[in-house]
Amino acid sequence: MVADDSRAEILGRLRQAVPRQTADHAPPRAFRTWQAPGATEIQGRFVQRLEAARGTVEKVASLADVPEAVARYLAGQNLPARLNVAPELKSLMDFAAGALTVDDSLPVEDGRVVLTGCIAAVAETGTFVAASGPNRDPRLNYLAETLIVVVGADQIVEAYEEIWNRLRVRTGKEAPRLVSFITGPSRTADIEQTIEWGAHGPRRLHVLISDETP
Amino acid sequence: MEVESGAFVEKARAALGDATLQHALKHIKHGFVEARANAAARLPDFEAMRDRARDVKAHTIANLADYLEQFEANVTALGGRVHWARDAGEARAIVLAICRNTGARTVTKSKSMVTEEIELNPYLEEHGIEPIETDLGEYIIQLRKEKPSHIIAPVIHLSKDQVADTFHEHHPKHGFHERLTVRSDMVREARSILRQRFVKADVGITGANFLVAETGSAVVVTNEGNADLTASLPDTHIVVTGIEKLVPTLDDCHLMLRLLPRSATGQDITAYISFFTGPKRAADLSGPSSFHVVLLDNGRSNMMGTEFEEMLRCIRCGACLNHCPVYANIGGHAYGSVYPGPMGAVLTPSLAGIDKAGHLPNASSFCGRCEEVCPVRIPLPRMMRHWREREFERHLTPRGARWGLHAWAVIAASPTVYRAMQWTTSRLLRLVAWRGWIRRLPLAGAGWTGQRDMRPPSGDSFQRQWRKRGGRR
Repeated sequence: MVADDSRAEILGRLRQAVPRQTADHAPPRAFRTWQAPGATEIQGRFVQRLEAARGTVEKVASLADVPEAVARYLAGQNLPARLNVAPELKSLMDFAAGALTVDDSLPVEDGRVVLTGCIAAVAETGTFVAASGPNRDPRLNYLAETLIVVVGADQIVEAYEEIWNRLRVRTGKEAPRLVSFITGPSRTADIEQTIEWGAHGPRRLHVLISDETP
Repeated sequence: MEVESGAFVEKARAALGDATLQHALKHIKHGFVEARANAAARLPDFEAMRDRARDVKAHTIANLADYLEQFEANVTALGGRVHWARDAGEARAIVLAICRNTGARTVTKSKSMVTEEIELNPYLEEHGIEPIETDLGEYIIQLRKEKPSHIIAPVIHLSKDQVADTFHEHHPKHGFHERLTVRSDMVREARSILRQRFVKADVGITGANFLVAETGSAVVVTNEGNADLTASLPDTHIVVTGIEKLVPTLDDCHLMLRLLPRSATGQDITAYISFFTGPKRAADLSGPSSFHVVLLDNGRSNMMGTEFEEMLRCIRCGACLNHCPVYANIGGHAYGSVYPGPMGAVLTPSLAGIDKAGHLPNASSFCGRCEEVCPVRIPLPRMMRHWREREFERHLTPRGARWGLHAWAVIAASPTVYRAMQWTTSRLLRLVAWRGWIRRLPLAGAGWTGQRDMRPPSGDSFQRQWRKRGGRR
């Protein structure tokens, strides 16, 4: 078969050109990464970095407070009180409390709002991490025009590498189909190197840090 | 790989006289060069990370066959498929076969230089499949039937007005008739059109910035989120990428991901970094049910064991383009290759042959800035010099230049001849000067005086002054 020929030929050429090397491949040393001046604790650093990436942040005490905070945010932005709630959050809160209408159709049209959770967040760059799974639909993160993310205070980790520990990928578990590191709203600078927000994904990204983890 | 580098000199001259292009290229300095410097300064260990990244990539390239096999085994174990393509033709045929098996009619694409390299779009069109570029810049050049002029900023050569004209010409069929002049309105209109295309596409094709051997993941970096929609909405996801994109572990990948955006756009991180690992799992709510990775060689394995092997470390950040005085003056199209600038001057002859791309390694002043900013410390000037040597050995250098180099070799090899030539030339130059300026010179000198006047030598040569002062080492 042609395909097998190609595979054998490419691997053969690579092996022939360079004798296999046993150069040590030590794990990378711990590098010092960006430190927000002033903010010493991890949540403060996360917030500072997220705001630098054009995200907005609000703190809530518990998951029960989320619907009201969402309603307030949407009203403040002059947006209708209608939203898609990601499957992993649906059973955790009562959306009637915030006078919100839940619309679970795929948010394809302009202007749709999505409320979603995450698997973790990273203080290093103000990033939240979405993943695929049996009760998660990561498409919502990219389709929304306004994205509201619930991050549990204890979901925030220092550096990207820790995400894979949380997913137990390092201890033999297979990685999910999709693990996505998302930082601030979608943007493009293709036209004259000037940033415009909401290129394909969210134009607004609002994070609710909850002391209670979803 | 289609290369039109033979006309480099003519195209470069035209680019220098193109006022719109010259205006557009001014954005590089502010947008990229200053932003990179600031991002690097904010990261305490930036230089140490570059050393480590160089070593990780060098190790991976030296053991590439092993890591490719490990990557393939992991993709296969999860139900994905890895395809191997010796050249562009094989890669195109593999992609077409996958599309046909799914009965695909439209394909969304996120930005991929490898699919530019293999000229995938015209091939799919010829075979009745419509490719839709979804990165805003790639979308614009697809409408304009142009090629990207920069590996991370495809339309850096265009002005806002040119983009406005392009949209005004092509968008009426989607119901948008007004010529927009505000940038945010233009982005909104393109978003609205592309959203419909995303939803209806049968297949999504992305490139990969990295492939992780230990997990079988393909990693894609964007700011728009278009790769994520491309890879998440259709039922088939095809990754088309080069064999050199491997890194051994997730930790290695995050090291690279700290360097890539900082070197490219000066961002600490891009808005989206996604790890795609295999197809959708049985219990997952969404995701493509089939996942393919097409690994392209196309000349890369021939670089192994040669003086160009280090080029395989390249992570395509574009920092060498952004910092190159030649690129900054002529833009990317003059190079006649989808890989322009210093990295292209080394890579294009490797992939397409020095006979087709001989001008490119000569388009450098050897100022060395490309090597200074390269996140994986590729010695680009040295490799351009190797290409010049090969070009000379193969008698591809123009006759005038060859004679010039031979004459120079004779003069430079003998101190007596060198001093005599220097003395005569400096006297002659002072003779032809008029009121302190030389306005016209013959032969090679015309290259200088064709654009600007020249000052004559002011006095004695350095060597004579040194001797007069009784200088010793």
